[in-house]
Amino acid sequence: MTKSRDPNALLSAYLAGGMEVLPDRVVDSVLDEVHRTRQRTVLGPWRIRITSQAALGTVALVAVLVVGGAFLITRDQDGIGTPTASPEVSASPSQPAVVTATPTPTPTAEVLSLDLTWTEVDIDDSVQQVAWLGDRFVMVDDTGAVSTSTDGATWRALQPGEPDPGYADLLKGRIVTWEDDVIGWWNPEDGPDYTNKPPVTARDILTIVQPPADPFESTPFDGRIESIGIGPLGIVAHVHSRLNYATEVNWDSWVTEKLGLRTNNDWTCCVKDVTFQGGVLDITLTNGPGLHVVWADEGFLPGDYQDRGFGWYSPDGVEWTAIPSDIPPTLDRGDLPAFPTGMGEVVGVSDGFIARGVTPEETCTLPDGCSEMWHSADGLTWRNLGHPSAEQDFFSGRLLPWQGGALLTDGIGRFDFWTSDGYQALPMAAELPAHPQEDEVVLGTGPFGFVSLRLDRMEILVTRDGVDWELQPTPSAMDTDTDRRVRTIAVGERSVLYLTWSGYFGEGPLVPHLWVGTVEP
Amino acid sequence: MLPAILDRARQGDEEAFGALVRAVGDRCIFIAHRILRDANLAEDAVQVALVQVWRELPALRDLDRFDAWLHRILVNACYAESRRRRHFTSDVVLLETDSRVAADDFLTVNDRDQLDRGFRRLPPEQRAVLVFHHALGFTVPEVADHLGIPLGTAKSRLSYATAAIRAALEADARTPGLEQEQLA
Repeated sequence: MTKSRDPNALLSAYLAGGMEVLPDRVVDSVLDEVHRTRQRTVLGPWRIRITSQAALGTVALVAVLVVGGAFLITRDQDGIGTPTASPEVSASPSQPAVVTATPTPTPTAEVLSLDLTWTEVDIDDSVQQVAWLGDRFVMVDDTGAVSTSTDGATWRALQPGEPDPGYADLLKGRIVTWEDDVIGWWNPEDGPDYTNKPPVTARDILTIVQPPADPFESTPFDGRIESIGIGPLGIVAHVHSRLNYATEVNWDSWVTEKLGLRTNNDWTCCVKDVTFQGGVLDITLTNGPGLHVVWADEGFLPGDYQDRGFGWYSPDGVEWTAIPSDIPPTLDRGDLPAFPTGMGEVVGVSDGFIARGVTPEETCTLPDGCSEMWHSADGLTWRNLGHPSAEQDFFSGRLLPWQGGALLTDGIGRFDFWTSDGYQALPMAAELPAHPQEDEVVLGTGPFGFVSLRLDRMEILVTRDGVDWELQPTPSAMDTDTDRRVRTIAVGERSVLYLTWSGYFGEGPLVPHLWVGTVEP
Repeated sequence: MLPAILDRARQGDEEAFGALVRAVGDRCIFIAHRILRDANLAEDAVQVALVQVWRELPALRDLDRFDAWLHRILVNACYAESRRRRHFTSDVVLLETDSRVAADDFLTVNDRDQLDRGFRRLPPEQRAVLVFHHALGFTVPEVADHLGIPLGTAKSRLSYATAAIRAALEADARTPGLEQEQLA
């Protein structure tokens, strides 16, 4: 073998192949859409930075008037109609939800400023995670030692050096909260520490659930838990199809390779029958052995978290019931599994649950998305709330519990507040530069409100009620240089924690840094 | 010529924007197809990106920054397309071999398979760094600039991605077992 095995050379050769000419039909399609698309109207300075409440109020008033006017014009042009005052919920997947929901300011005895004053707090280098759990901040390190704090500045060791079965385990997984209730969950692929452990019912307010390590024998969860919503009516879990997470096998490539070998790279010529049922794909071939494999949406990639989802409901985190689905999954795209089989992110709201879900493409008239919002008052039966807008990328951003409803947001420019009545696109106080990457925004909600930190600009966006907003810079020291992508914002009652890191993987230790943003009356 | 076209397009001239699309379209599909490794997804991403370019162009103040600005929009469209389609894809079309990718004399079929396996495992953010660095020949600082990420992030993504590709190339002897397979 005389060929070079230099990975860079091979990679360059690999990437040299591919499309090089944009097809004319794509150009035509772009120009056709451009003809129907208005250009953005630029108002005032390109970048607005607001740090005072008075200035914000002035700009907010102007922005609301202008944006509101533009919104009405756009809606009229689209033939959708203007928002109405009476609640009206769309039952058809092809119709948008009507704007009716409004976040309500949180009643407080005192009015808190939106200005955050940031200070760094000394913490141990072993700190791994912080969170707001019901009525306190909790911080856990990699030994399992737990500290708690009400303000984020002063910490009290709960069990120094001793693993705590509740908090420590909880914070190693993922958590959601509803008032004083907290639920956390792990998955087998989260690491060896979490395999073969029974579900833990921790002390105090904590509940931990976990699927078994072997998805093929799991009860109640048949796969991987992706999202959990907790609310006053119980818990809904979004779980994915059966996959063998224990094997480090890329099934997609493996299946492609197997079929290629068995069909001389022309497998479509030899397929006799294809069935897909219950997450299992069977392919029989006319010229030899076929395949029988488990399935994930992106292919056969174990651990892929974007595969088709299923829903489970529990009133207490102990007894679980599968959310019924009338549509069995098949390979026919016309039968693409609809909600709740195609369930996505879910959060608890004051009157039940709100979730994202997949809609069959044939029933979706929107050009850029066939997924919609759903509401359930009991966790088991679900009602379509519709789609917010054809112009917005439905899949960007996150769904966060907030103000008793669900906030669908990218953290910088899109703030759709959903309730069981529909949604309202919250007006922003200022026009923010667009196009951050998803991993450059850290989001958090809590008793104080909604907080978004945009890492590429290190600007904090804060609102308590969705009406008053504050966009403010952060201390330059908060902008640490690291490649660790998991950063955390924990939002308490009158303080906000930001846990970040410095250092790079493979270049010495990663050092945690905890910043506390406090507000004054 | 491009600045003049840009300026006219920014002012709403659709004809000028058409010329702009024809000037940058091939580069866009070159990048998108290499990040997404799927012709249909790449075409969709380019279409979304170019329409967004049209919509947002009035906000671009420094026309000299157009290339980097375009690249950021394009790669974000690729990321979104990748995420969006992962929700929907549930038929066997993904098993189809992409016939538009020509074989290369330098690469054996085995090389291609291993590289493809490794590349498709990468998150789109790391794929983008590899494409800009290896296919477009950008330096790492240029990659960071055009992707809108800190230099350290670009370095780390390149490091991770290269290590993953290297691991895929070295894993050729470790083929998966047949325990999940059943003869039909």
